[in-house]
Amino acid sequence: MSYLIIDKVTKKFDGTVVLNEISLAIEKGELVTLLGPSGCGKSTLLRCIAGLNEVDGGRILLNDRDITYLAPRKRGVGMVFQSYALFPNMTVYENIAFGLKMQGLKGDRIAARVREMIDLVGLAGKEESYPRELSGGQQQRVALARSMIVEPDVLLLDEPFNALDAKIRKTLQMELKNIQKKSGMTMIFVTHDQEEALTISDRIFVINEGRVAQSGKPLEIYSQPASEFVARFIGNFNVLKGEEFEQLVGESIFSGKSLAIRPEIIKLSLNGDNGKCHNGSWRIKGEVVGVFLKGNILRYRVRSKDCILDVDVLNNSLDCNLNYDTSVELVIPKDEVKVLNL
Amino acid sequence: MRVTWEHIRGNLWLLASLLPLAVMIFGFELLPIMGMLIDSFRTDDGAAWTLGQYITALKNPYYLVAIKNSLLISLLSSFIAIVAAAFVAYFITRLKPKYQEAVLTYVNLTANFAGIPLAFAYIIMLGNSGLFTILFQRWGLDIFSEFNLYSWSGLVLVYVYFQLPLAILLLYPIYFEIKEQWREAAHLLGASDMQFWLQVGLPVIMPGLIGTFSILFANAMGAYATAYALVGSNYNLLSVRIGALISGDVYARPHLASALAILLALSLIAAMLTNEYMMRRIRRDLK
Amino acid sequence: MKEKKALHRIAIALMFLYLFMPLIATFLYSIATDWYDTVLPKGLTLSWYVKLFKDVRFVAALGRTLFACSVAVGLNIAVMVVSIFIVSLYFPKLERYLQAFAMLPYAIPGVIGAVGLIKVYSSGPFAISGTVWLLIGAYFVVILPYTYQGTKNSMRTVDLPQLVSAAELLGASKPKAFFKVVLPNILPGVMVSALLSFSVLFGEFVLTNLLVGGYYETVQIYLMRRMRESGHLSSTVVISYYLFVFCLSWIALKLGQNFKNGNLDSLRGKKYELPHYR
Repeated sequence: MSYLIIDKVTKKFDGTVVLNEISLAIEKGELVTLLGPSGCGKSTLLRCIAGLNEVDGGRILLNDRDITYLAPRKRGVGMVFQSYALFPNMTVYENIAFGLKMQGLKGDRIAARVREMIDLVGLAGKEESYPRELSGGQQQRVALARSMIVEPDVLLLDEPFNALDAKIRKTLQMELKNIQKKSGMTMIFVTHDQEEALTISDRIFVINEGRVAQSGKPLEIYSQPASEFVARFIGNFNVLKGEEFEQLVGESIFSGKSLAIRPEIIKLSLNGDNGKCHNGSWRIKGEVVGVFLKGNILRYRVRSKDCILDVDVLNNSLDCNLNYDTSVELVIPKDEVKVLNL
Repeated sequence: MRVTWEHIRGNLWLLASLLPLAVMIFGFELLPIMGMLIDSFRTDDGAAWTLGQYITALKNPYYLVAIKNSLLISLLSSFIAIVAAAFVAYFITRLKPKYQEAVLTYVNLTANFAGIPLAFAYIIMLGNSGLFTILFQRWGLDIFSEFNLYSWSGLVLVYVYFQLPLAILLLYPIYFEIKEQWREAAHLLGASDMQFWLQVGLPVIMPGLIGTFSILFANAMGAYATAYALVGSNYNLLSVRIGALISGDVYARPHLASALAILLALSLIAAMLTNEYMMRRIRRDLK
Repeated sequence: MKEKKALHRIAIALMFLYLFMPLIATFLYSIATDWYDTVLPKGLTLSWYVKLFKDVRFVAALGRTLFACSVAVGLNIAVMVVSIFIVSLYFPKLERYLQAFAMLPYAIPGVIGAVGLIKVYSSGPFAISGTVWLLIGAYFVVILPYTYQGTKNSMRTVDLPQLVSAAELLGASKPKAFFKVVLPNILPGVMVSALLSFSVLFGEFVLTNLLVGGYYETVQIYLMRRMRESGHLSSTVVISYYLFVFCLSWIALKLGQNFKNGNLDSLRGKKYELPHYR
């Protein structure tokens, strides 16, 4: 049986259904992400697992125990908040030691473990500092250490890096992944940033309107989105109606369906440049109507008939010479055109 | 900025319009304070400098008792009021927002009920033929019916009454400093409600509690009307004593009154400094 | 959690009972015919109120109180509004001193103030001790903290510097800006502090008693005297006085709400005026 089971959990706020009989299962030692837009219910689900909100229906099972109606203290669940929630009147050391103190441990037993934790999160030398003397990234490390030291069965992280600068975010994402691997702790991470989810997760649950829209490994979800919602959310997919695409390629096999094409698998060639004929691909003619620099990616917006398609190429000198109104030919491998189930 | 004649003349009208305020502040605020300070160091006939007034104030048992009584009643009433208010204000924060506003409005209303009207009301309720006194007699609760309103315990009771709304209004905003997420984090780390309050909640609101206590203490020490109306000169309180010395009930001794008034002011300052010190000990993170 | 909610409500209810009991008792007394040694009054009547308002001495005291309070409040508001305006715009360096002096009376109990005032004004060139003018001067200083806070808050709410800049850009001189733009906008907020100051002064006793005592009998002094003589009459004074203050506070509250669109944030910002010394 899975380590953590959410079984048809329902939650309403003032009559609005936020969690709609949602179900998912998580294995021990995984780092899974709940990914979805604002309001989809992911934070609410997290709080239900922690016991901070009561569920209106369904069950939650953790390590073979039914924790659905237990008080937060008794669940063996830890949580890292977006706003860090560090106790302002305590030093870093005292914050981290808090959970152990509540368990009744004495000074010297606590000291060794706190020291270990401080090294793990990279805060050596800051033991006597107060939260307001620390940067956002440092405060979040303290929050992490504080929750991990009591060795909860599962650690919940509610958009923990949301309030931090982009660079710090990236650093902390990698560090979190390392820490999780080292400690083997089961973690549930909540975010609305798909890039973050793709970077750190073992598995992703895409959540929409209180239900799981798709679950799987990052690569699976990214290359095979199951629905239009997931396709639009997870990357920069080109999402087209079947009829539109049929117009471009002259074959009518996609009527009534939605299609998703990843921008990075579309190849560009200037007319007549590429003599080889790939039978496994469609060739579409169009003009460049937009050029966007995204750092290491260059995005071309190409119009063909009435369709707009985004094409991403690596920003090396080979493919960067296209300007507005240049005529180009798009080469799209046939098996990279994904049909979506609604 | 160089001050030229042009500059002064330009601003002359402006400065002139500040004159009325300056005159009032000087005449009715500064001058009296200075005069009082000077007077406290002069002999009764105003002829020479002396520390005699202060010595009398601190050595003469009559005034010493007054100081002691005032301190006792102020500290006790402030303490009782702040403890009660700490709970009540917290309960108010747990109500629905629209109720919170209503409750606070009514508390604010009763905060104005003090001084002579308050003393009078308590006489009606707990005086010698007060309605509760008679009620307690009927019910055979002699302990309560023998309660003497005109003693120090009566004074404390009445003082608590006008301290309570003030304390509630002052403490109420302080609870908003406690973030709900601290409580949630503490719970998840295994703390009970009580442990949370002792470890995190109380320390966080402590500066506010201490500041409020200062204000309550000052409020009680300076109270005159309520005591005057309730016990007149029959109970020895500092504020009433000072009043008696300058209104010349028997013979006026304004210089001694000045010394006592300065001492009263000093006690307020001392309370404030003590509180600052205590706060620094408890919240070392607030430097 | 549900049991906790009940506990909270009971505690608050008890508190209200405790706080309103004296008022209720006094009110009962004011409409009682005879209430000497029984738990509840023997009968009810409004005759005491009639008697009160027919009492020449009371009406005179009321008149004196209204006079002294109105003059003090009026003078204070006029002076303060102009002064704060000028200091904020022309002499920002003086701001700190103004604040210190304005808030100082709040920290000084009335008794202490009385000692100093009598010393200065009982002899010498300005021997106004015992007259209403000393009282008005003292009242002026007593309400400084309230009018200062109120005016400053009003000016902050309307964002004074920006308002004046906007007016100037449209061609107004600073004085014109003051009268035509600033004053109308801050008037509601200033009125609130005026009303509050009025209620504070109406209940003022210590300075009144020590500075002018019997020479200028205000309502509070009258009450003090009557208290020894007739309980019923005194209670009518108390209730009338309280109703009056109640009305003033109510008006002030409504004005304040319109001015600031009250919500929970303004509660946290200490919207409530703190009571004066007892």
